[in-house]
Amino acid sequence: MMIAIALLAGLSLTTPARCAPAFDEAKTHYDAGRFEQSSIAFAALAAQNPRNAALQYDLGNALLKSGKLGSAVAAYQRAFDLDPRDADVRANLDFALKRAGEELIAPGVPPLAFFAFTFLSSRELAGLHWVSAWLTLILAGLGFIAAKRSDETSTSLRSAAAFCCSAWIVFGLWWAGLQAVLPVGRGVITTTRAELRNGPGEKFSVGYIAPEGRRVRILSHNGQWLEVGLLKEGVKGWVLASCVERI
Amino acid sequence: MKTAAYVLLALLCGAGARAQAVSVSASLDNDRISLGEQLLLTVTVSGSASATVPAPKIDNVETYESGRSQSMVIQNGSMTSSIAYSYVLSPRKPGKFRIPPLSVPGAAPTEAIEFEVLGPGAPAQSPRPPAGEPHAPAPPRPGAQAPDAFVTAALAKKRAFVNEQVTMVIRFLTAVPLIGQPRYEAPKLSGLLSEDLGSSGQGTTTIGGRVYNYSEIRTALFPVQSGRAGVGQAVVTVQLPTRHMRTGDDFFDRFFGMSSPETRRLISDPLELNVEALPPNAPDDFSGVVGALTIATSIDRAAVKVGEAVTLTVTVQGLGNLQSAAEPKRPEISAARFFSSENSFTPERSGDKAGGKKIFRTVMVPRVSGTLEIPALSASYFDSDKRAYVRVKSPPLRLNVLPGPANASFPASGPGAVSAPDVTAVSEDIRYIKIPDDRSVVGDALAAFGATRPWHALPFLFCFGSILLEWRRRLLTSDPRARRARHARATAERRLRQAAQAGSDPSRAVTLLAEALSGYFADILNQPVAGLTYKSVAERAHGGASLPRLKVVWEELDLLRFAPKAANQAEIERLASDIQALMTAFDKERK
Repeated sequence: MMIAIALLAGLSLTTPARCAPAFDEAKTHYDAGRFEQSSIAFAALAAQNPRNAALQYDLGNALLKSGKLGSAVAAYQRAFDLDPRDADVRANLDFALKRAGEELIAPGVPPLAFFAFTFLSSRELAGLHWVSAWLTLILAGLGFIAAKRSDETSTSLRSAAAFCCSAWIVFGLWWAGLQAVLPVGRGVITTTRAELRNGPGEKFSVGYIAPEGRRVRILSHNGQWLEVGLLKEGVKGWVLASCVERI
Repeated sequence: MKTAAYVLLALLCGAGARAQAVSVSASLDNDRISLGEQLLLTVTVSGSASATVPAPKIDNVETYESGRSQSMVIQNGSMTSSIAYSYVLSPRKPGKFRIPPLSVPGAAPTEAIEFEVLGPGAPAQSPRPPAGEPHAPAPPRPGAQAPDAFVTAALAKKRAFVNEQVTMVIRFLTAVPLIGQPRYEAPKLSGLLSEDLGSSGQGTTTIGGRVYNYSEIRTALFPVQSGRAGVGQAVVTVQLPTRHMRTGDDFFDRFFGMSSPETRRLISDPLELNVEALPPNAPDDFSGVVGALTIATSIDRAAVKVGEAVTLTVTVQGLGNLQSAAEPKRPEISAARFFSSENSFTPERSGDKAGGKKIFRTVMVPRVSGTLEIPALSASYFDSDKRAYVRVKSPPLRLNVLPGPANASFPASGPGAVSAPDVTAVSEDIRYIKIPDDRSVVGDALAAFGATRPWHALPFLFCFGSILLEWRRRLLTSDPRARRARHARATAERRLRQAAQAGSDPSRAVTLLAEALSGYFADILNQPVAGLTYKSVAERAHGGASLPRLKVVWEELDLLRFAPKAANQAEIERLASDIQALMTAFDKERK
């Protein structure tokens, strides 16, 4: 099973060596303080390797240094979603969020609890959920088949299936919880002052003004307008889609 | 300004003040204002000329001294002296605030005073009106006979913003020579701060055909809150010569000069000023100055070593009530340590415009070597002509910091040094970029496997199939009779096929035919094969119509079992066909 998973993973991976020259070029720009060029180069790399957390992180660095706080937060958030255990990703995301008036760990949440909850990425949890599901079902099936021949083997298989089933439930609930906290439809404000209107159009009054870099949840869309909710304040409004970068 | 008239009294009566008890009181000119407005706190200390009252410290409220005045009162032979300290309170944010009790040695402390600051632009209470005085006619009315002397008070404008300067001119005019020195009592102010412009003027003017000599006092007034501010009556007490003295009609007066001069209290009309609140959306670095500002920064040394002190001087200069200017907010510079600031104020005048220079000096000690950049500092003021906030900035400064002594940052070694030095946070910035090669294979494999794919249905199908199989097996084992009956036909047909194939061996073929027939009925009747006879079958089986035929076939088989050589291939096939037909018939009857 693990071999199969590793093979599967191998198929989906892009070898970092394939993008080494482009990475070197982006890094050279970054080291020389040419952050605009560096961000363009890192953006191209990240587009080729969308599941590479390090490239998203590097892109976030270049964007932040070039003054694009909102896009930097979006890149850091993608890196965090891919590799939440990376201390550098956490540190830089927290740094950028603080500039936008937010914090990575919401006030009142114990840091250890947050670290434990986000220890595994949503994709990893999905994988563990499916691995435990496969193991549970295969062991249970074998246990049924073996019941005809040997009660002892069947009992052992069913015990293992029960253990895997517990893991399946735990990982499933954990995954669902993480999906609720980090839903798919998220975005970041990328303009200095985004006006959140009370309806999808200029004719509606402005209810709130959100600063650049503030994370939002995308609730719905209507033409060029997105209905977004501010995660920290718990308020919502309509904003032009061009003011929001989807995560 | 108004204390000049009391100096003589103070000199005369100073001895009487010694035995007086000390007391302190505090009053606030308003208890509710809007953000951007100011409050005037007056702390009065009676009975002590030397007691000083420290400025109250209130969180999020800028407090600065606005001056002090001394007064003495003689009543029934005893004298009371008091000093009134004025403080301007400028809140930085809305909310409720509390002035703590103030105390001086030997006196009971004052009671705490609370006040509320509303949001910007919110309507606040108007200041209390000035204490009224009996109205007395002052300047000449049109058509009236011009008086010998009178006092006028005028404001440069009737409407002003909070903290905007309004020049007040008090003018004393006389058409006759005065006897003795006039005594001036400044008007009481409500909701206004005053600053003497020091530009007293004198001159001559003609009113109603009479020539007057005049003296005037110019004062800058600054409204502290929106609403109505008031200027009370200015009083000038003079001694005027009587008409007799001036005309010399009376012989004795002329000769002896014994007529008493006439004492007159000349009173100006009270004035009102409409004070407009400053617009909301004030910048963060606005500290209440209405007028014009410039800001400059400087350091006393261009290059220092780590650990050496440098003085950073921030100069805020301009026109307006500069005393209320707060220190420009300095961005966090973690590469240097800053100590508390000291400030000084120097009043400056530009014609009738009050202003000044406020200097903030801060000692800073660089922590790390390199070029230390002190970013631009900013301050905002309100331009009343443009009716807009204006921000001014100082240019950034660069300080060359040289490496200090090797042990500059570490505690002295010796017997007392038992702890290691702490790590000092110098600046906060993002971490450096990463090389994308340190990837988690297991994590990526899990992530890849976790993607929603159709193959995730496979284990479910496998488990479901296993359950079905197990269910069927249990079903069969739980009812052996039904299981035997279900397999009866299949077993019998297998034997019939074997019999057909064993045509060259009649003995085996007949045996297989007999086993097929008896085995079938043994299975459907759940009876042992051994000893099963047609009779026992006929008693238990429910195939009444087929029994005669069964009897024929059974007996034929019995005969052939004893003489198998008599059976040829055709007969064996016929018997197999008969047995097949019998089983079909019995199956139908059984169902």
